[in-house]
Amino acid sequence: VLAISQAQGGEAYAVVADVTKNADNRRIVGETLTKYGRLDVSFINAGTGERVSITELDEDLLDKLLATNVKGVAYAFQYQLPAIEKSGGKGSILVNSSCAGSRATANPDFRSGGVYAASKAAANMLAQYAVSVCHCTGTHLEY
Amino acid sequence: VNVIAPGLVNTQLIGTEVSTVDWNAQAGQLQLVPRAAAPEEIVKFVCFLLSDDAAFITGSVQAIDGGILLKM
Repeated sequence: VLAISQAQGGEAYAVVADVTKNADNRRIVGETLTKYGRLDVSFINAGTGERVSITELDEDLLDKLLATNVKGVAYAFQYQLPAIEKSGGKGSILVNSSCAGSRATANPDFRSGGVYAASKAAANMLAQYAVSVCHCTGTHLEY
Repeated sequence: VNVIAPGLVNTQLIGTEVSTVDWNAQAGQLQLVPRAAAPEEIVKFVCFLLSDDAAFITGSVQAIDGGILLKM
């Protein structure tokens, strides 16, 4: 991403982080504010797509899926929403979810996708409640 | 705050990790648009949703999935 951005004449700054860690999410936002002084937009993109049948759950796999796709999004909002508020409240956050999180299906092609779908449905809810939190707490997040 | 809900996207991730799968053939079965999306097709929508032009869109889950939801 850094190379592509710079090749197109843009300025970029990379932070290596593990989105499943709360402290890393704090550091991503912290370094951004240190470097640029404000946060305007965010694309919460990191995700993982393991497919596993509900009857064949593996604890480590389940933990990895939920940690990336659910905790990662929650932690991102935890630090990004206040950062945008402190930047004047005019900003935008977009979460990369999946069509799998919008509807359940009995299509056999998706039979191993239940846990992934559940994680993406959770990400959708986190995003919509993030909007609600902005309005309830008076954070003037415009969009 | 908004959400995008993509279907099959032809990224390097699925290209390398699951290279045995023909994603365009899969898409033909699952979606109304019978191919996987190019990453650039998602990027254009992302840029729009993060821009001032999308100021009236909030709290939404935006499907960009080649019609996969209509066939699920």
